[in-house]
Amino acid sequence: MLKIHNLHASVDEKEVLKGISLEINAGEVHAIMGPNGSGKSTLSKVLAGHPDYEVTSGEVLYEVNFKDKNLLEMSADERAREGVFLAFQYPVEVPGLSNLAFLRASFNSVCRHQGVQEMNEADFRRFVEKKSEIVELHPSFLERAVNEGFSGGEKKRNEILQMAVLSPRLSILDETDSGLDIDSLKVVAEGVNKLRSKDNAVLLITHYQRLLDYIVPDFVHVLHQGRIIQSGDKGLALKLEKQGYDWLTKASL
Amino acid sequence: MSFVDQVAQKFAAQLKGASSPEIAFREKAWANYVRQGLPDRKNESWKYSSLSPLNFNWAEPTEVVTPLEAVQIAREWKSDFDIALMVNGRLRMNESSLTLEAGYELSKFSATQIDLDQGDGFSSAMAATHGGGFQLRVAPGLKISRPLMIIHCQQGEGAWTSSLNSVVLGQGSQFQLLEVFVGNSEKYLHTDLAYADVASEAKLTWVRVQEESGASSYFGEMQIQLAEAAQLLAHQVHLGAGWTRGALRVNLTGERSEAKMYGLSFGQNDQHVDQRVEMNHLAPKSLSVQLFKGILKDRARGVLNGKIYIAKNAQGVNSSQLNHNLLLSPGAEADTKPELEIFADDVKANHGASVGRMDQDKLFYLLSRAIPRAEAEQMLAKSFISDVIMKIESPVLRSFVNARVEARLPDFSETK
Repeated sequence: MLKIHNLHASVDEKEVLKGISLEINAGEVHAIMGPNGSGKSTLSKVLAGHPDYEVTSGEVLYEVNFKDKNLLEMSADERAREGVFLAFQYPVEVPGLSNLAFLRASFNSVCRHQGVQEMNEADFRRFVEKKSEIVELHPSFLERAVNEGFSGGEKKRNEILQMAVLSPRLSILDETDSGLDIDSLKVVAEGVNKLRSKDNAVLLITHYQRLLDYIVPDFVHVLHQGRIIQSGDKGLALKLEKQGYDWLTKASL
Repeated sequence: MSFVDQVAQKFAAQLKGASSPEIAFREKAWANYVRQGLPDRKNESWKYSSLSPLNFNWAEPTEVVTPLEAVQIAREWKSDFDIALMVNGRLRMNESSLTLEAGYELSKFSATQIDLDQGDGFSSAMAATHGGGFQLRVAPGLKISRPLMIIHCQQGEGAWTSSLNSVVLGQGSQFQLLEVFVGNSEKYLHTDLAYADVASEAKLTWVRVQEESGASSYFGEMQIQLAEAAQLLAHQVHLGAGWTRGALRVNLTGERSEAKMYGLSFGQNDQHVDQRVEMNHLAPKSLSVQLFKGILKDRARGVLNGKIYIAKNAQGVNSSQLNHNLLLSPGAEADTKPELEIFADDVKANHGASVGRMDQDKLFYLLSRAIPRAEAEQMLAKSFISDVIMKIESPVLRSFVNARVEARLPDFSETK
């Protein structure tokens, strides 16, 4: 579904990603771990199409209708319409825009793209209320402005609600576990697990192994100084938990 | 003919056949004008606006049939509002639908007792040359729940309509007034003075939505007196006119009086929107809030030129002024010039201003949720002004403003 080949990217003319290669297939969950500043969040933003990040070389192919397309040539909103979803580490507040109106604009944009009938407000409200149950968000959140005054946990649940509404093919979760208490973490993780299927893939970006107790990955990759220095199965994450990153980062020097 | 000469000519014409109190009123205003003259840009309060767009051979407005747009607005909103129609500054009672009652009167302007002394040279000239308007009176203690919408429509290529209106609220009364200014695509001049006297413990809610023709020039000044514990909640929304000068002069003359003033300025192409505020705290413990926002694109220019004056005896005053601007094009410009003149020592007075582009992190968030760029930018433009609109307490007034603003938002995205 996603093929990243020798990806180099810079922000403010500083190279952050220094040759990343990674292949993700439908049905798989990949976790990317690594110390602060290793380039984890940069990778997620590059894949979602943030304009501040410049890809200097390499390619990213994303399969759309059984054909590989150059993801980097697509605008951020096009990528989203083709099923790429980024759950933000720091979800943005948008005063004066209700969560419901926001979700509906988002959902209907995807419907238009897929040539499916858009949903009217009443039908959409019922649809979203059902989805809210997955992340245990009270329907009253739909009337509130997007993320405004939400606690950290509520913001992250709201991200997973958006994921549930859009049912993306490739979900990138950028430190979705950061700042979550254990209850919220469980809710968020269960939400993600319910949305897993053989047709979609998940890329989990996390600093801690804790999240991986709840969302079990098929592959774990360690990112250090803009490169993947080690890949393995979930056992790698447990080893990192016990031994830290030093044994790897020193070896890679 | 220069604008100065036309002002003199219009004044002379208005004196013919006028009653003696009316002549006295006009002559007093004229004396104020003569003393000050028409302002130029050396005058601090006119620093950003030149009167040169007004140099044109303006004609007197003629009698016209009621423009279709006014009829449509009236039809659409008549279940929520009493509606009065003003065409080229003349009140058309027979085309209005009003539920007037004892103590609530709307009629043609005839009051000559109002005190317009606080005006500058320009507004004094407009008072001296006015061609009529409306006057509204609400008796003491009367609380009118159904809001009044006054639709001002201008029509006639090259016409200059000069109107003067007054609102007088008796002690403890409450009233909600919404005015909408519409025109077609003609070039004309509309100068409009509105005077309000709010007696003690009365509350005036006043919303103005200006959608004059894009080729027109619009001058609108509100002069407001607030007595003890009187409250004003005012919104001014400028959506139209090529050249706009909005002025608010508020005298907080009574203790614990409150003025909350909100403004939105939308500018595109070469629109010029100059908003002047004079907030005069003349009594202790009076409160004022100002929040003005502008969205500007192309080569449009927005100005907030706002003064807060706090008199020596006015202790315990709380006053704030905020101005935030969103620029959608490199050629757009926002100027903000606060002036604080504070003579009392135990007061709070704050001001703040910002000018910036659309928030790129918010934009990316919306794009990453599949929302097309133009739609995302409109949503963010709406988000930017949402706090101003939310300050309209009445749901009916708020939904009117929302509807008029939303109809224009498609013009305000960065990519268009």
